Amino acid sequence: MKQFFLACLAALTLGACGTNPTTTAPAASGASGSLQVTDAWTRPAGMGGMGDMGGEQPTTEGGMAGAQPTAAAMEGMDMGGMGNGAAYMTIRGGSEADRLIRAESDVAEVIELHTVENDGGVMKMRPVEGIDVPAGGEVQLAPGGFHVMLINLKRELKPGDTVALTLQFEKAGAVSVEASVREQ
Amino acid sequence: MQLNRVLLALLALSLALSACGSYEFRGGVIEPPSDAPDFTLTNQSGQPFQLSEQRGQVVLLFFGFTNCPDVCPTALAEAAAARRQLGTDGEKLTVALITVDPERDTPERLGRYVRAFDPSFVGLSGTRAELEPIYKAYGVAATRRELPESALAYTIDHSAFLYVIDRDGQWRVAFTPGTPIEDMVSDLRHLIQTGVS
Repeated sequence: MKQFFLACLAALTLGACGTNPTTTAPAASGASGSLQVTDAWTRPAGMGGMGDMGGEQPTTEGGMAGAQPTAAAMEGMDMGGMGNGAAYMTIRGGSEADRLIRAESDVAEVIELHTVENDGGVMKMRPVEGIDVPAGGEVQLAPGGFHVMLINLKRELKPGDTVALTLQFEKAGAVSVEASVREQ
Repeated sequence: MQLNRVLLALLALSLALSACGSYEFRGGVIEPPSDAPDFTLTNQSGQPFQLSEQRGQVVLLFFGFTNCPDVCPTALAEAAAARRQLGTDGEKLTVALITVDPERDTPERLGRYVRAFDPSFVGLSGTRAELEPIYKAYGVAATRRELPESALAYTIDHSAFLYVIDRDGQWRVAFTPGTPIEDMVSDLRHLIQTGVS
């Protein structure tokens, strides 16, 4: 019986600390009924090619160990920055409806919430005040729709890197997310 | 009456032709194929890029801009994936981004942007006077929209189709945003392997 509990505890611990992008749930919230963010990701952006998959270790939990700009990145800065990026994720609502009102990260100078409307093939990107998360429902931040826009990246985003984001919800408060950098 | 009969015969003929082992495109077919409107713009190295000089290559054209964080990277990442999946056939594919934001997109900025997807990609810029007729010829809507509440200051509402020009310089297919990569690969491979007539 004790072993069973230990196994459960181990499973929970692993689940919470895995290398996959996971949510750090607000400390006070319960296991069920709380808002969850999963599968956070962003495309590679910046100077480098996308083929360079090797050698880059993902940064640890919120760590900025890998955040020093490369020489190439520095070069990019005086040309108006590294460009922009977009972060995507799935947000599952908890027991009450909530609203994503802001995102923060030190990876970019400015972070905004945007959406894209497809108007007969004409794509219109617009800032949004917030993104509603229905109670017990799910909202997708995905290419061609809602996204967290990272404006003026401070460093190159390479495949295998992770980007620490803090999402601010109206009710759930701050939720930390590690977005993995990948192509699709 | 006579005309109706001719029309029916033509319809039957076209059905028969399409059924007889001819390749069926998965993207939107430009019918009939027409000469792709020619243009000369400046590539990221500052060199002229003339469409009609690309004969022998299949050209995939996309209109976009570097401050576009979602739609354009999605399209270009898909184009890059398609080119990789084409393997050696991919060498016969030229992917070019034509800017709809010439005020901000310098050749250098475009170069950095497209190279992040595939080192072979071409970023094309020019003056407004050079670009406007090209947008018009390709039916590209590109409207500047002020975004006072955004750090971007403005965005460009723009058509996000990918245009495919065959190795003879004929405009053949347009992919809508979100076309599955395997569909793009299938059409591109067909046009690459069909060769120059």
